[in-house]
Amino acid sequence: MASIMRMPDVASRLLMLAVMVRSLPGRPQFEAFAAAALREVPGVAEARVHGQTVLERPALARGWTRYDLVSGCETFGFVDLRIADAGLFAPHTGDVQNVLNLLAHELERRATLACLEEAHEALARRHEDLERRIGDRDEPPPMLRQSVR
Amino acid sequence: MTDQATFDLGSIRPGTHVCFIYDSADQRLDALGRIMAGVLRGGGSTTYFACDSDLDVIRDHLGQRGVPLDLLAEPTFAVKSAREVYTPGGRFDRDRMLQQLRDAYARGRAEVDGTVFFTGEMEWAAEPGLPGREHLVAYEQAVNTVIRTHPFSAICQYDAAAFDGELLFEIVKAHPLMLVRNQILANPYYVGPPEAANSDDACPCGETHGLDHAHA
Repeated sequence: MASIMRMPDVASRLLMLAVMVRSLPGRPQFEAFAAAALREVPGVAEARVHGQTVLERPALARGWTRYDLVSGCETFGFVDLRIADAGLFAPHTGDVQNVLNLLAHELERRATLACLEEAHEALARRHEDLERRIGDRDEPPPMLRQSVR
Repeated sequence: MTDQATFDLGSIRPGTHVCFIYDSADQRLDALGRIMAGVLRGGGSTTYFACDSDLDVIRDHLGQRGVPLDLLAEPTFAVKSAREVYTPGGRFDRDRMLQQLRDAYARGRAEVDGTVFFTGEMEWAAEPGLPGREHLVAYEQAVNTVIRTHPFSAICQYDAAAFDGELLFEIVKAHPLMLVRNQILANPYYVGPPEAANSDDACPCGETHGLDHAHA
């Protein structure tokens, strides 16, 4: 069936993938869902999505191709595809690359949100700490309390 | 089936089967609230199969959307336990559930002129080891066949945090439509029911094509 899937059909599927991954909160779900969708591209036999940077990337087995998930400034992971039929896959290379860029942007968005949340929590903790110190200062020092009695 | 779809949350039409993957309770209530309010105001009926949602919260939300109080009671509006409906006795039986939908549709048509609408929270299906759980995707696919003769509308709610990505993808493929960010979209990943290959819609070449294919 995949052999006669038209390019607009593949493109619309990949576009929908980019939309739908935004609803998947966890990285493992993001990776598994994206991999399952990429396996539907004509010519692709297997797909693995790694949505995070790692110090040591797994070695690439023969017959696999690796694509980085890169935004404008940073790499957020990589996708490995095993292309069983290069002729079938070739017309869809551009669309696949486009959706990988969109996946990278989604990972970047999540990383940015995580940073903002961390910064917000740090500010909230600092604010609480300051409030506590101000509250402690409202209490007169022990010597003064004694003289008031 | 997609040519019968509406893309307006306020006026979902009969015969639509939608997958809704959500990531927050607020998002869920907002989208479903719009749809249910539209169904009720349009003279239809809504049955909500709830796992964790509170009946009063749903009712209050619909009231805030302007749905008259007299519509927020049976026979136009009902909230049932999803676990009791989908998994009585702790087991999911696909065929029994499909018959329940047929029967519920018949009852609904006897009561209202508008759309008979069902929506179910599907968290029960995330319980590991649940007997019959392995038939979930086949059930979702079979709903598309039932809808042809019993044109209810249905939205299946899947909590993105409760299901693994690969299963969610299989579930997505079983639905002609997706609810994404308050828009109902045609689902290009949709794979029709197996018997579609033998129907009048099948292409003479025997292959499955995209939505607007014209065989040469």
